[in-house]
Amino acid sequence: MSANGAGGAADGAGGLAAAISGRGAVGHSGGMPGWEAVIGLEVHCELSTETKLFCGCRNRFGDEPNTSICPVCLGLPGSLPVLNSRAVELAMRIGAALHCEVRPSVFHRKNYFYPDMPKDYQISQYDEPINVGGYLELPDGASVGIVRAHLEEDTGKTTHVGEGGRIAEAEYSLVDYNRAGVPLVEIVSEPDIRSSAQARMYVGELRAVLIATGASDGRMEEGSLRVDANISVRRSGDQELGTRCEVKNLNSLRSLARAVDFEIERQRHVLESGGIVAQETRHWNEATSKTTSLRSKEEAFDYRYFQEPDLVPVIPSEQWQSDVIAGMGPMPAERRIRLARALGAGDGEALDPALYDQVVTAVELGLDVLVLDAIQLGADPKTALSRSVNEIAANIASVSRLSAVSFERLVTLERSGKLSATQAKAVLSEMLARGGDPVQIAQEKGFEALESDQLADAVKDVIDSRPEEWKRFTAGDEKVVQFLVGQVMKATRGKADGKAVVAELERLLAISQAPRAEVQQS
Amino acid sequence: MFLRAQHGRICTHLHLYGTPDFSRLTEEANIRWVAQSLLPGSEPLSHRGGDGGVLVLHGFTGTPQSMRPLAQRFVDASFSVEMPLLPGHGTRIEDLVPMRFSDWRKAAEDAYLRLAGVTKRVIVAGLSMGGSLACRLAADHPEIAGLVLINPFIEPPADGFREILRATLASGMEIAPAVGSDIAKPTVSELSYPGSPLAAALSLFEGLDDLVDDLDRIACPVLLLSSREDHVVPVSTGDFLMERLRVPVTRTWLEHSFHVATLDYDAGIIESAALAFAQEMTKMTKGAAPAVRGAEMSGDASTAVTAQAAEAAEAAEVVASAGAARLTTEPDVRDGSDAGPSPAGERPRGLATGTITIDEDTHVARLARLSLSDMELEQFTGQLAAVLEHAADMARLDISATAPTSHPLPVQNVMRDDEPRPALERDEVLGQAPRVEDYRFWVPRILAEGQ
Amino acid sequence: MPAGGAGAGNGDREDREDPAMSPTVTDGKLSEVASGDLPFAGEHASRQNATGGPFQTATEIAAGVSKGEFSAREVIEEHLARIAARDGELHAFNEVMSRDALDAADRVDRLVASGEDPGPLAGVPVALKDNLCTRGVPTTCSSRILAGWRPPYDATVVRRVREAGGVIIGKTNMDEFAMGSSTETSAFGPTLNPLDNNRVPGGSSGGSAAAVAAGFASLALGSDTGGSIRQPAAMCGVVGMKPTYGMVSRYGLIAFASSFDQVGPFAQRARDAAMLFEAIAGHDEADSTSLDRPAPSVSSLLGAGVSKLRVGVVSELVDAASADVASRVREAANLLATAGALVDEVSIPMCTYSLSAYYLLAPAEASSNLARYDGVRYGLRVEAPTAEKMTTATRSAGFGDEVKRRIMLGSYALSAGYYDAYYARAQRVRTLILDAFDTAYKRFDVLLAPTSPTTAFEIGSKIDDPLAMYLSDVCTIPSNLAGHPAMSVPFGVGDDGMPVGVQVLAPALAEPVMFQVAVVLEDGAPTAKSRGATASVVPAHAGQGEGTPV
Repeated sequence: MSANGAGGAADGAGGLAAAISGRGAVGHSGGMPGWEAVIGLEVHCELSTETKLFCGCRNRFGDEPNTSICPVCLGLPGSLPVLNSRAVELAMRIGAALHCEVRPSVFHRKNYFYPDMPKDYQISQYDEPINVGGYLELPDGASVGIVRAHLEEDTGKTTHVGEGGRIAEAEYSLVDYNRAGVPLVEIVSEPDIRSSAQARMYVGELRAVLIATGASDGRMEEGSLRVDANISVRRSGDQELGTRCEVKNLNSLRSLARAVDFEIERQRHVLESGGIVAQETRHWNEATSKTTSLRSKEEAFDYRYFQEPDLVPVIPSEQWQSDVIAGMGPMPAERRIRLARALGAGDGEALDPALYDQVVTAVELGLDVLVLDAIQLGADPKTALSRSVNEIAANIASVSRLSAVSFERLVTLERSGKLSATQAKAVLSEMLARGGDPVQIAQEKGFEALESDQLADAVKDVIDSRPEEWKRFTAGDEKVVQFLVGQVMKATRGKADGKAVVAELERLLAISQAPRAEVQQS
Repeated sequence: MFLRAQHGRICTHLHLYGTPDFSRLTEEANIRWVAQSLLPGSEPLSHRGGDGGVLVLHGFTGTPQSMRPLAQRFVDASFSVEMPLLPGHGTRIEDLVPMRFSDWRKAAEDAYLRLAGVTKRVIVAGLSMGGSLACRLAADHPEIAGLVLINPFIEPPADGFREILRATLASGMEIAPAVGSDIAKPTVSELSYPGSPLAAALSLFEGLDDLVDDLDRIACPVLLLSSREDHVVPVSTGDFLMERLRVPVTRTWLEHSFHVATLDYDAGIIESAALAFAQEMTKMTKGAAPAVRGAEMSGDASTAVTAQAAEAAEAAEVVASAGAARLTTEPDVRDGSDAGPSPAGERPRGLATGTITIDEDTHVARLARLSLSDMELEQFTGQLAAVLEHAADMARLDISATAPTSHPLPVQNVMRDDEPRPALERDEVLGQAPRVEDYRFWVPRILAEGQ
Repeated sequence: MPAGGAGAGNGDREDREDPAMSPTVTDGKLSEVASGDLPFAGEHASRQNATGGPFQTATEIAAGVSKGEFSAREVIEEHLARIAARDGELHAFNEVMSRDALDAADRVDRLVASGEDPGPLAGVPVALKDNLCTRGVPTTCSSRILAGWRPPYDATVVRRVREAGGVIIGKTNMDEFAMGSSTETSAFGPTLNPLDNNRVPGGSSGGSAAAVAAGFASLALGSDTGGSIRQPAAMCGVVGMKPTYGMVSRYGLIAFASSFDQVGPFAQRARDAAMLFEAIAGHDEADSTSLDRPAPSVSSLLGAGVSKLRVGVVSELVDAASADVASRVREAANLLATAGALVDEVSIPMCTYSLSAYYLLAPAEASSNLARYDGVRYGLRVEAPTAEKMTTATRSAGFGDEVKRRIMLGSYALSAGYYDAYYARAQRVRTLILDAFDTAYKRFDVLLAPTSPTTAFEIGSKIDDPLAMYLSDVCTIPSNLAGHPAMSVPFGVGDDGMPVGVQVLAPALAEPVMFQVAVVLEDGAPTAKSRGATASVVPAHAGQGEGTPV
């Protein structure tokens, strides 16, 4: 299936996003003429439930080892699983966000032995998953098909002890079952992705969607999102897919991109030199920046799937489904469009790409609602967006201290020139640190914007006291501008707005040069 | 039960009181000793069974009584069994005083040769000093097919300790105290001398000195059974042995037994493990001999893998000794038409029995993490084939329009609220675990990748 | 008279005087016992005080304890004494919980003394099959791989027995992981049939059946996956009942085959079984397959009779039984007809495929359920240099032959390439069997069949022939496939003098009518005296058993 095929249903929204963003979809990365990469991603997402998938143990990262365990998640003889309804709801939300069909589903047992799996089988959804057939629209307007998004349980955590901490060199391993039984949704994409940049964008967007649904905290560094990549290459124009390799251990967006690039290059090299790509699982090694074949014991995988007899089918009623979806906010794609429109996009008008990047960032960080609310209250859209993706983003954890009302006030103070940009940033920083009203904070800090004549006086004073620099400035030396602005700032103790100073300097320059111009003209 | 004294009471005495009062203990031991010719229960055993032989050796100051249940299991399983009464044992303690390691070594050797004369393959099983002797024999006879060592005495005691014993001996004290049979199970006791003759013990230590240098000559697979708690031989002696052997060792921990584990709570585990091991190592008839299966292992990973066979294969790779070479080159012994070795890399011919073949069984056994001996494999294949054949009657039914039933009753949407419940007490859970480190479950090296 | 009295159950002539010498009876009826007339224990014998003590059936004990006529402690001490005297020989128990039982009895006595309701099972000794988890008490499934394991939690049924005032007296021997029909696959050695020590007690809940038959416990719990309650009940001459699938919680029952397993009661009489059933049945939120409905009241209907009930005798299952067993089933049918039931033969040809479907489906589930015994978290571990080898070595040493066999069979049925031919086909045959029962139950209220095709067989006679052993489940398996309730009621003896069980099968949730029929059968069962010809055979067997070292 191709990106175009899967994107059929998404053309409307995707096309709009593309129009708003002012760019086409991310194309193939260059450097590989004659070849095409085909990438499908499997993303495991830990659900943000209070408890595990089949028992009442807490689903929490970072607990003391083996303190969040019970007979069920420890697989003790006689224990039985009972499904967490919240996990089903979150799975349905993910399905809805990815435009999947929610279906009646059953659980199967996937049978294989591994010490981190307490029952030596994993309860997972096999041929009757809860969500099938959707798509995810990327910010660049491309659309990636979703095969399925199903529920399953996580395994425990194994620590390999010995040199290097890796399996191959380990002397022994230690297992902590706190994570065993944590609910996961595995999201399997169609092989619609064509480059590392697009893979990265897909996971970034998926992460935003998962956070927006409330299903996940999206923390890759804590393993809340884990990515496996199926990668193959083929000659451009070939219809058949090449042999794929599955790459594991991709713990960040960065390693995903690097691993995909490495693997594409490796496979191309194998094929170009007449070799055959072996279908295998490969491990991404961050330290060596290489993927290596897992020297797993030769054992044909035969998971002996069969329906989990300890659980019963899940057949969500229409009512439940619509209740669950009703509780969901808008997804990032929709939010980007909304914010872009507030900035003047739409009806064929594209945003400036740099501005659109700020829109994407604001949505990614969840600051779009704040910005939109501030705009609604009368804030200047661009200033509000700029402050949000710069100053607020730098202190994102404190955003809850900021109300839309006070944010609007701040933006308007700045916009109206009552505060210089520098002062506005300082006030915003204070608002994030301890909350409060911008006017009050500005007063406390002694910030009063200079009246325009005060500013003009200050600039005049500087010019008079620095004839040398003024001369250079009038001669067109741009390097001296910063010096002069700095001198004005110093003289006004930071109250002057930089831009206003520059404007005044330029006004004076124009005045000083005007007579000459007239002379030349005549 | 001399060694228990070494690590238990005597050490304590030396530590706390200086020179121990051996004379009093000896007197006591002598009073308890009743002269008689052969202590009932200490009779040796010699049984002619099949082509597989098991030599069973008891420990220092002990008797065949301590090993009889194990020996009986081998007898019942149609092995030929020799269980000698080692010189100086089973009668009066005085009889042991003049005996030396060379005497026991010779007795073991004689018994082995008797057994080897009437069988095709022999394994040796020994407890404590019996384990020392078993290792001695295996170092001297590379054709021995396997060793079962139960709390073997291997690590020679420190010189300082021997000095004390020599001094004691020089002072005229011939016999050190023993502490009763070291068995956890309260209702059982070992038939053993009430003391330990010092000169005999010192010669045993010297025997160990020699043995340690020769441990790397042992070429057969080893099953090591170690009690977690042992008041006679330090538990570390097993580690000491494993460090020096060049062959792979299968070590099984005995959680509920002390030194004389053959009579203790884990006797059943020992017997089952030893029997399975013996059957594996002495396989002579139908199915591939372990030797050939080992060879197949390196060529074709899909053939049967039992822990022992796999280790035999590994042994063959790492040890180029006579024994290991024999393991890899000896032809497959099959009956009738199926004679001749399987070429390496080729699957063993599927002994088609009804609807399932041994080949398939081997594959399934690996999926299920079971290691089946050839005998089990063959037996199971036949039995499973019979069941599957019976099940073939279902083929007569038209099921084309029938949905499968996974649950007898139609129930759906059973869920719970996302509300936390108390977790188990970690200590209670970890207390049940075989091995724990740093509040986590300890497992040996994992070779395969997870999912 | 704890020790010797148990011998009466064994038909030992020297001891048979004892019951009559025991004057303490709680029911006038019991004093009429003729000491010389007892061929064997079982429903007749127990009703007639064969076990020798004053404390007989569960209902009598519960009534006496509640009224303060005797103390729970007395009851438990008496039963512990019987166990001490005779279980060394029978090996019904893997673990006798003497101290716990006495403590529990004292708690019941305190409740009675303080005027509180001690519960419907007040002071009644209950034995538990050793696959029911008991916190802190070894729970082994009679397997080496779980030897010494102490669960950190109680099974739901265990909790309910305690809450009902029942006193748990010990954990009973069983076929390893409930896989077997004779209790011979136990890693700890077989249980002997209390009526004839040369014979098996049936299985897999053989220890529980033997415990009730020998008077060690008034009630016992077993589990029934393919007949593991009913078949040993029949072979030991007691009542055994498998509830509707989902009626009793499986939480804490160590799984054999999850879509078949049900916990159910053993008792000397149907009304006692009903009492225990009512105590354990009902919804449990810890078991997703538990039916979300209140347990049906069966006790209130026990005396309703069978007038106008439509009873079908399943001809295929009767044909599968030996002649003597088949005769008892026909006599039972006649008895019901006499009592007013409308009896007819019914043919359910699909029943004959039950064994095939069951011996693929149950092992398939078992192969997965038993994967967790890997040596990592609990139970046996055989050390080896890698995790894979450790797990393989542990499982190979820890499981017995029958368990290995079924794991192999089940793994095979599920493996790639065979799934459709075996597992998927068997699942569809299961559907056909359900359909066939549905059709039959349109015409009949209950069905009648033998429980076991034969009476108790001799120890060792089938252990080397798995298929022959599996065939002894042929009459019980259909109910497990269908998830329907069924129970075995003792009804006379076979040609060898051993008890015969007649099986009453009912549709899902029809436990009340099933019990109604069972009570009529029980009351009308041929007495031992009326089968004098065979009765004389039994003591001879028993005597041999008694004197032969095993």
